[in-house]
Amino acid sequence: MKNGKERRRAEFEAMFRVLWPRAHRVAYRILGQVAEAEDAAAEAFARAYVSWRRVGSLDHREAWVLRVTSNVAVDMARRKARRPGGRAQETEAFEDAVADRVTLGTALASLPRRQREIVALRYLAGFGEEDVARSLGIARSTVKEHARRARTSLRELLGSKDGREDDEAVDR
Amino acid sequence: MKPSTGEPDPRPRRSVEEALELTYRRVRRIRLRRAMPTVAGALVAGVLALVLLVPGLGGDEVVDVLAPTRSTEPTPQPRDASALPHSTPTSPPTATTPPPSPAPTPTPVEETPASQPFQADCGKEYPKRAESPEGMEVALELEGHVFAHGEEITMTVRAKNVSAQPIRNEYSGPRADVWVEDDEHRIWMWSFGRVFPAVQSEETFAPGEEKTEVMTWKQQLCDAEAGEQRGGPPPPGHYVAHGGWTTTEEGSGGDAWWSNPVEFEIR
Repeated sequence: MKNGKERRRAEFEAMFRVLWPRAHRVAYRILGQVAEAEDAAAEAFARAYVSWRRVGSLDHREAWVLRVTSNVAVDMARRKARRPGGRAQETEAFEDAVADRVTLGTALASLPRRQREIVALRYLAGFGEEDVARSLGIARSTVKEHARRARTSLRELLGSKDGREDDEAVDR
Repeated sequence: MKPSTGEPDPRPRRSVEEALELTYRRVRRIRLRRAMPTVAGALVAGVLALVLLVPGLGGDEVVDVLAPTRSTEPTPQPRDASALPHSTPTSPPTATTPPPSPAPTPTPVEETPASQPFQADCGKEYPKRAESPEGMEVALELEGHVFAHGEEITMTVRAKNVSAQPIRNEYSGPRADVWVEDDEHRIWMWSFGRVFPAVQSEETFAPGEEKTEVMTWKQQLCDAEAGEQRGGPPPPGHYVAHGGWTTTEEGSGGDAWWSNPVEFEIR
């Protein structure tokens, strides 16, 4: 029979095995680099593990981990953007490949926390509106409103020329 | 929002087992970081015990005994020391420099994890100030204007419907929040790093009705990187506290109705 600590560890590892690729994907979409995305995802899981008594009991613990993953990744993107010469040190090939994602990461960093979390869960982690609402404990209409505001801000920050089409696409 | 390029995202470089190992290494680092204040405290207690037990040492010589320890360790500095308000700019408080005190006791070494200085910063983007409704008045009260370094500070947020109509409000987490700012940063926020149960609730404020929330600040600080409150107390100086009462009202343009700012001092 497993004691409490072993049971918690087994629960955590079961969730980890299922969620790791998804957490990595969320971080990768923000950071654009595999190794950095692994670091961000690992950091989020580590924070979940040290607070597992609390986090493990949440109904939406997967969303909690993905939310923290996106926050960690956005912080990393923010630090990366601030680092003097950080971008200049990239090779040309990498530069083109990661440019959009670095821009997305820094753009996300400028959003209010709630909007950022909704963007991460809704568009990067692929949760439905209802799931995002349940995991954040807010009304579906609030998710919709925050997502709309976030899209407007991101469109301005990223300079999308076809924002209206984007809106229609993501609302479908 | 700009969608992804359409290409499939690359798979993680590490296997799941390797990623798990990486995660556990980070867990050990987090635990070590959290344990540092305790370790630092134990070291100080050990040195003090030595001072008291060894004949010939004591009184003013306490400082001499500690001096070599300080000189061999790099003095930790915040990443952005200028952001911390100091009442005495020529002597910025650090983990090894106690604030002015009548008794020269070197105990403040325990106050901040010596190996993990950080810039206290909760971010200022949340909650965004809501502009309506006109009928709601939110106020913040502190139990004084001057507090001791490290003293627990109680803050009360009051929300009152001053209109003649009932006001209905929805919540998706805590009803209220409080935060403290220095000259540049929001250094503490009650909700920072906390996990709230996903519960949707609502309540109605009758005309004239007032509701309150009471929070306490143990003078810990926001560590944005760790995503938690730790360390502290902040250096003596002047600070400003704000309170916010949560709203999800459509069209309010924000997340909370803000209170008046309340200035106070930590000595």
